[in-house]
Amino acid sequence: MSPLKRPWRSLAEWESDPQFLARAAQEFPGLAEALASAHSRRQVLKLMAAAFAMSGIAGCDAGAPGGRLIPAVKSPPGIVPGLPNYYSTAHVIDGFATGIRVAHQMGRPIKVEGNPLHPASLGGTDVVSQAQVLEFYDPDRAAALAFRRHPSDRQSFLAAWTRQRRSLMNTGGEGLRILTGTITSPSLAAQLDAVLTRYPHARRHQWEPISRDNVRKGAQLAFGQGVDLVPNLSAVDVLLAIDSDLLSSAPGHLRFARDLMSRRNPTRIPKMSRVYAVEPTPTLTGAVADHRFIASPGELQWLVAGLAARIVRGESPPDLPPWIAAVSADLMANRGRALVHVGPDQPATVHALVHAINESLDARGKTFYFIEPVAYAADQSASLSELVDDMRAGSVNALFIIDSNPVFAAAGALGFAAALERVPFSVSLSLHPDETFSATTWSLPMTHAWESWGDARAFDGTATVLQPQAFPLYDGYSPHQVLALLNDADAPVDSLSLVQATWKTADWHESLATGVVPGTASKKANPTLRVAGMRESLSAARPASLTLILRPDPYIWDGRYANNAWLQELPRPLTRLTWDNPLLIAPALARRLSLTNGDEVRLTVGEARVVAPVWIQPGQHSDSVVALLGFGRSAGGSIANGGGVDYYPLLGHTGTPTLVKTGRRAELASTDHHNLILNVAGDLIKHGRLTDYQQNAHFLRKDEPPAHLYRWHPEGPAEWAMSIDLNTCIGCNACVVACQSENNIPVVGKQQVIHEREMHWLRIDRYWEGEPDSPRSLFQPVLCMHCEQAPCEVVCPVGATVHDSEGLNVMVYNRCVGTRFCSNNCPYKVRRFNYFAYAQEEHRLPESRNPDVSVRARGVMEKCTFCLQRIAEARIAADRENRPVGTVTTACQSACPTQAISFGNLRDPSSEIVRRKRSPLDYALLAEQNTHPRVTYEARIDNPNPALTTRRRGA
Amino acid sequence: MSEMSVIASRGATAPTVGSMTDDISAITLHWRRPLWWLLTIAATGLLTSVLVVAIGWLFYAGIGIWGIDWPVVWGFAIISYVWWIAIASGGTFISALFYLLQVEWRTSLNRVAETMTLFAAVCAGIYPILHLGRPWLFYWLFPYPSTMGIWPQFRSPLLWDFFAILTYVISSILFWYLGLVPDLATLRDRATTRRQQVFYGVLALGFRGEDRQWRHYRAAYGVLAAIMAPLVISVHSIVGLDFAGAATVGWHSTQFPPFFVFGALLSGFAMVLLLVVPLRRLLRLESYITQRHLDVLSRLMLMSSLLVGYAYIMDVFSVFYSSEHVERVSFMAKIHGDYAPIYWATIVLNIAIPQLLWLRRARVNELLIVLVSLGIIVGMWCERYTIVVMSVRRSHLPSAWGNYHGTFWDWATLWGTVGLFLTGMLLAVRYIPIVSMFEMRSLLQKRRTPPGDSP
Amino acid sequence: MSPGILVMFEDEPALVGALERLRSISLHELRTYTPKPLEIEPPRSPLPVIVLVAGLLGAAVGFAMQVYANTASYPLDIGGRPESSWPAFIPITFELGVLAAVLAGVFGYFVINRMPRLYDRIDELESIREASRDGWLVAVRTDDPERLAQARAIVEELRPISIEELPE
Repeated sequence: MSPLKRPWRSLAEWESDPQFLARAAQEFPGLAEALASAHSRRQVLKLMAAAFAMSGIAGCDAGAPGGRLIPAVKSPPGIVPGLPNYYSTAHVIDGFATGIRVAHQMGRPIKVEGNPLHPASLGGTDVVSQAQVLEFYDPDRAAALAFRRHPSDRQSFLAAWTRQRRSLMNTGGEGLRILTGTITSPSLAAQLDAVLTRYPHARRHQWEPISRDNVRKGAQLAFGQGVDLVPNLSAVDVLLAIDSDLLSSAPGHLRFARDLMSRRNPTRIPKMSRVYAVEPTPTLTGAVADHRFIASPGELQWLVAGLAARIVRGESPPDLPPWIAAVSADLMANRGRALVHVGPDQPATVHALVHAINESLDARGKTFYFIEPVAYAADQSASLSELVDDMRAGSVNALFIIDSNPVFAAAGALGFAAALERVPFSVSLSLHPDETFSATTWSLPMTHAWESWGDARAFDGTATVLQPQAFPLYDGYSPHQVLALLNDADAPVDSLSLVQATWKTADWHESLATGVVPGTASKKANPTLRVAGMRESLSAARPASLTLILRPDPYIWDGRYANNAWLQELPRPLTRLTWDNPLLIAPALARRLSLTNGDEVRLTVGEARVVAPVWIQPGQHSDSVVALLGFGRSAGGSIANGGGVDYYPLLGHTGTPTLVKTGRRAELASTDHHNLILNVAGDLIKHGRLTDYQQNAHFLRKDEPPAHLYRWHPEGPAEWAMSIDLNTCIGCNACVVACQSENNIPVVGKQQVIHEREMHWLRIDRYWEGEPDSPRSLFQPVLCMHCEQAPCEVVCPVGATVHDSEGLNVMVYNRCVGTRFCSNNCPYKVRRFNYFAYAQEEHRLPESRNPDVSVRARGVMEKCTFCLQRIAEARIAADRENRPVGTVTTACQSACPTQAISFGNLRDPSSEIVRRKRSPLDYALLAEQNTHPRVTYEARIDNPNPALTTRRRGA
Repeated sequence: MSEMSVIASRGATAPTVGSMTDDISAITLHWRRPLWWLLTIAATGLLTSVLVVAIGWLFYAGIGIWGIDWPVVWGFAIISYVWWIAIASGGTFISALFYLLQVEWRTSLNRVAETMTLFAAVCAGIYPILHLGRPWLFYWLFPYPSTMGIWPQFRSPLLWDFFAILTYVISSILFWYLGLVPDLATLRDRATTRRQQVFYGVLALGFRGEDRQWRHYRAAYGVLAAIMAPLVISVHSIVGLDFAGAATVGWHSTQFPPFFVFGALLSGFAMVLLLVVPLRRLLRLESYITQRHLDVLSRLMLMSSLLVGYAYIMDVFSVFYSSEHVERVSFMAKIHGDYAPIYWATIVLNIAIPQLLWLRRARVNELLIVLVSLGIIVGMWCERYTIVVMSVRRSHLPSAWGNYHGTFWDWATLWGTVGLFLTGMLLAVRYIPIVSMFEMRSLLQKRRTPPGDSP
Repeated sequence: MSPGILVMFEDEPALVGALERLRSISLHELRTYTPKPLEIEPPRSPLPVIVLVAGLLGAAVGFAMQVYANTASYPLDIGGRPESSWPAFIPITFELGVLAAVLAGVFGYFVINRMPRLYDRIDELESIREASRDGWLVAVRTDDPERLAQARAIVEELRPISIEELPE
């Protein structure tokens, strides 16, 4: 029923599946030759059908060369059945590491937790690292080595490479190119350097589809040297975020979120910070801002120029919007406690200007500091176009593409795929059999980061040793092994010794245990600002034409995670869209072109054009069209393929974009079934202003004690409860994926989402408030409230949902007959129903599920359990040690980067939860229903600038 | 005026106790295989087989094949269930309530009405089971001695409903059969073929019209009638509680129980008329089911339509009288949302059009009566749609607002039950006396004295 | 079995008249067979009492079951409601009462009349078939030949449609 269901594959289909044949070829040497003749191919297949059926398509071989799997006769020390073990490593995206700890059950990695000791995590995780469990077990991963899309084996590859290598050695590596993504790994860097010394004429290229070149160039422009800016947001009183990715995707965004939001709840800190945001399209930073201003990308440069004029040189340029005066005044009034941050989409000149502004705000060393660049510096876009030119010119003889997918993600204008055909010997190393994998002459499957040793550095330079979490599921190479091949085809490829060599000096076991190599943070840098080169950029005019903004999708990023069903079905924070990436347009633009959600348009930029549906994004600038990259994969895997639209072809083309309505409509799967804008969200999401709060901390409380016919408190040893702080929630969805991963929540697929049958136990409600053109957005995580007087329980005819002594509203799946009355009677509508056997139909290995949580059957209601399995674990531990039950951390709580969620036992006076429930901002959702929820919220307080509050909110 | 008397007494057609008995029993004993019957039962049989397919596919694929979603977890199954059970009520009201009231005109109608009740109740009874996510576990609603020692949850309105329907179906069958016994005896004695003799002989259980049999019979029938009347009221009140018992927006209203009883009256009378008008012509019962009956039933229908109208008005009133914001939002969504046509159809079909029946000319126009009744049957279905679907669509949290559309299988199941119902009625017409003969006899004797005017 | 006669009258009044006179002479057995209940004496029957008792019993058992289940047998915290929240038990109590009453009424009726009784010697006579149409019959049985003759005389005066000997 669900589209995730994988069609049964016939032998004939197998025959045309290179991966399959490749695996076969390895298991049966000489098969490739037999298969070469189409005539005998069928014969062979027939003969070995049985063997295939037994070995299975995703068979379980030892993986690493020489590796063997031996069943443990004596269970290894430390592995207690039913208890998780944690191994620290890091999740690396675009080169930068975020520390994680992987929970194992009986040696199987099943859950990702943050690493509290890692500077980029502090215990929090983001959506993508949570979803690595699914990524690791993905049945669609590249499973075998191929030569020109035909099955091959290591031996023939090694033979071919050795021949190639001989000629390269003679020419000093003439025409040898290596293309990688951004690299922060010292070990990889060392290997690359070694390669370059061995082949003097060889060249390396570094390129990521989502470029941060502007950031680097900006620093270059301002200081004449490469430096990384590390904001220290916990010290920031006034922040101006210009189209900023601080909370969403900047390296270290989890850390930044923690620091920034630690200053947002007036009940916990003496002085609340103030955040301004200026941006063309809503971002998470804009959502938490006290004031959000909308400006087109063109205007931004002009505004920053104006700001610089005011702050840097004290001029007051004419015809700037009035808020500039107020904001710059506020910034200047808070010298040394203010910071201006600008996102990677803004041109280098803007970055340079902002550096200048920060300097004159006397912010260096106080609200941020500079460090030596963490990543190997390269002008990435230039580097790639250079490579493509050489390829086209035919001067590239051998190309190694390591963990990068340029065929899909390179700018359409470059024409990488065409150029690649002119390269006689090209090798790709990819996790998935992606577009590049099938375009190179040799295609090597890559081991997942959890399958091999490695290292990477965080935003502040702190290094982490990546340790393998399991034997490789498939037969693959690690990047280290490939580079080792380049160096010396005969050398033993052992990534462990490579990495160990890099960290000889450090305490190896300490580093593994903590997930951080101590004392590896980058040196502080102290560059001096070059005032020259500032002037010319000030003359930026104010263009007013439609501009196309290409951004990575927040979850599947540049497309590399497109085959991850959790990420596909995760509602995007503001649009609540899943499985799709329509063009985001402003309400005003929609009115002008008379478009509604789902209308299809033809978008033309220069000679490039795509056809895509549109989605109306309140709060977006009317002159901007936002396209999210990463969708529309052609070889991304059974889940990724065909979903959404591929906007890469537009990349690199210039000219003003035009939209033409085609008249067709597309079905889009948004979990927002109401698209309406509330004038007042106050009843549901209580919020107010700091000034009112300071007058009366309880100003949001309506103090009428609810009337009762009867009141009953469960008398258990513990009273579990949760408090969610709306001041610190940034709507990042990390909790949702953590919950999905912890509780085996099935993915239902696009069609079922369209049918309004999504299954997430925890959802983050997003409300718009105010004017459609510039509303403010409010987030509210909603899960089962575990009401003490639960309406759902009373109406269940079979008692399938009841209360336990500790106040949990428990759901007895086995007893549920599926009348669904409980859902009707739930005021919060947090119950989800298995209309089909969703879990069964998931495209997912059973090994990847959490063994502590039962997988729900068809026709059964399910909902949040407060992570009952974790509570049970704590209970058992407490019983064993004969002490009261200790602290329990729910999956959502531990994932939350800003600690917005707090969970605990109300009977324990010392606990955080008790403190939070005492907060004057504490309130219950729909309290008038008298359900007495155990989950309560802390109302959101904003700290608007008095000088601006007379104006309309968020204007 | 003979036209309006309970039994046509124009010389030629004036029936006697004997002729009446012969007429009625002839219908079943000397069945003439009329063409209309063969055609209709062929059609309804086809519909019934559609039901079988729909149920089969449902059990195989799961209720995901229906339109229900999140948050609208109840759909056609509940709508049609309430609809059918309300239709069923008509028979019980006529046979039980008016028996107690000693209304003489009921006599020639109650057999049709009770039979209708029977099959409508059966159709209704199917739904609660199909509605379950795991239908094969429906018996968990019984308080049976389970190995786990667990019980059903007696506080749930759904469980009340389960017991109510169980009681109602069983009681209706028994009441219907008891009323049938003397006539079965008549058929046994008139039977010409051996098969008829055995068939009706066994069913009659040896009823011979002995003084003792009659004495207890009148006592039993009276007492049962006295129980059936409150039972039918309770059943519909409890169906109302299925909704009123929940804290859901648009449902949580104390007026629901009486409201549902009114609705039941309306659809009950409508369905009786819908069946009686054609049957009296097709089976040549004009002399027993006269214009007078149609007139009385139409008046009753008008009366219950006014009652329902009152309920609708109270609904609106309570929404705006209460200070609940969401109630208002939800109601506004009903009267002008994308589903508004259904709400207005309800008003027009159930309240506006029936007002025609104030005119006597309308009440004797059979075609018009059929159309009005048909409108009401449809209108009542729409009413349940507004109650079940539209309320849940707009609940407290706007983030949990949603939509709902019935799928092919929803419709297939609905029409399937219509087929089942009609097939049942056609078979009943064929095999049981469709007018209660022994009660007609008392009536025919009274006829010698001039008939009372109105009930 | 004692001998007797089966007399069929044309209509109810005739039969009623005959009955009054036949009652005057004490007969061993006097039984009527009629198409509809006779209008004479009001029905005397234990059934209403039986039904009432059964109904009350059913209700009581129903209520007891619910209380027992929720307090003694398997108490659960359901939505923080009291264990024996009696108002919620009323509907099922009522329904079970009705169910019991109806069952008692119907099956009580059959038991009292010893039904089903598919064969009776009287079925051998043709005229009995009329009892379910428009025939008004009375069966008279007695061991005393005079009395039987007396009865025969009485009914003959009333010009019955038929007089038949009852099978012994």
